[in-house]
Amino acid sequence: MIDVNIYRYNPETDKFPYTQTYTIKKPEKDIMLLELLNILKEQDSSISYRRSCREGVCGSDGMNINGKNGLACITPISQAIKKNKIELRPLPGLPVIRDLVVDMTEFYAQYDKIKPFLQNETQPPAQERLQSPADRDKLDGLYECILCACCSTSCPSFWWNPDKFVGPAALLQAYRFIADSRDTKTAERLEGLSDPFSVYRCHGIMNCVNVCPKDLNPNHAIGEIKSMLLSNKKKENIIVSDGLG
Amino acid sequence: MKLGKLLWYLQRYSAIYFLLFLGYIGFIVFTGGFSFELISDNLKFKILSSLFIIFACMHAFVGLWTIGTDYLTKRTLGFISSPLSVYANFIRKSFEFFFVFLGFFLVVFYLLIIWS
Repeated sequence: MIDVNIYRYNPETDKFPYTQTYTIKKPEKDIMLLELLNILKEQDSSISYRRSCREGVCGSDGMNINGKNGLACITPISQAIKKNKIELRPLPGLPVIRDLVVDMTEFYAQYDKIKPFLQNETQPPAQERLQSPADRDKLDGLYECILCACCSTSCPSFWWNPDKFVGPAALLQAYRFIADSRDTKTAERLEGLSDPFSVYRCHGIMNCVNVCPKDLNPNHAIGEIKSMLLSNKKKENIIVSDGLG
Repeated sequence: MKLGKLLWYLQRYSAIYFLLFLGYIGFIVFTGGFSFELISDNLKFKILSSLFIIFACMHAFVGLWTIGTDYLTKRTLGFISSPLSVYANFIRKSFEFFFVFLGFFLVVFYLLIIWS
């Protein structure tokens, strides 16, 4: 038997959040945590959590698993169990809507702030803007982010200033467009990050790297942005990184 | 220069200066040259130590301002107490004012002692 401790909070009925323990027979197969939650939801249909793709692509089921953020759908229970217990809490730092569902408005507001789309004012070619294989390689380790918010919600700087510090997820995406050879708004993008909060509040704690379910390295991207801000490093001088944590 | 860049460089260069100054002081102490005459009469020591106290206060203020804007905000004080969070801006400004005043006092006091 295993104990699954789940953070419960329904603002319509609960004055304060509490932890509810569900004791369940340990599944014979090493199923994913999301499957375990689905089994529990059959017992208690009031448990709330987000999920969609169940294969680590949509980023919906980010949650705090035994103190570390991760995706329930790609975390095997063998990895999650500690002393026959699993602690499930919502992503830290964001307002809780209900149980494991958090309000991600602040997270998306930061993503919106970095203008996450290609900007190029030159005349578009007939078909598409081409890129050399070498320039394309610079985007590896950047474009794979699924915006699950595991990194940003594990970052103390984002906890304290979610309205001012852009956060690792959005900064990784900012760098994805800064490094893109087809994007011509590099100076404007850097200008938008030059205040004391947007980038400089990253103190290199590296929780973001530790928790990223896609093994990306936002800290490296933030370091590159800082280098460009501080030393006027040119876009052409960006070297290919494996981008992995 | 942008404010973010200025503060970043200020923190790093002042920290490098502290290290160099510490090495200078260590050298003087280990070679037996540390004395009242050094502090009161040596022009090089007066200039270097004056720069040290100025940089130390600036370095400390940037650090404390960072701490204040992390932990003394409406959001973070709200974790402790909702009524307290109403006064977050006042508390943070008071915190900053106190350390600006203290830093200014220390710099003026030190410069008056060392140069008068």
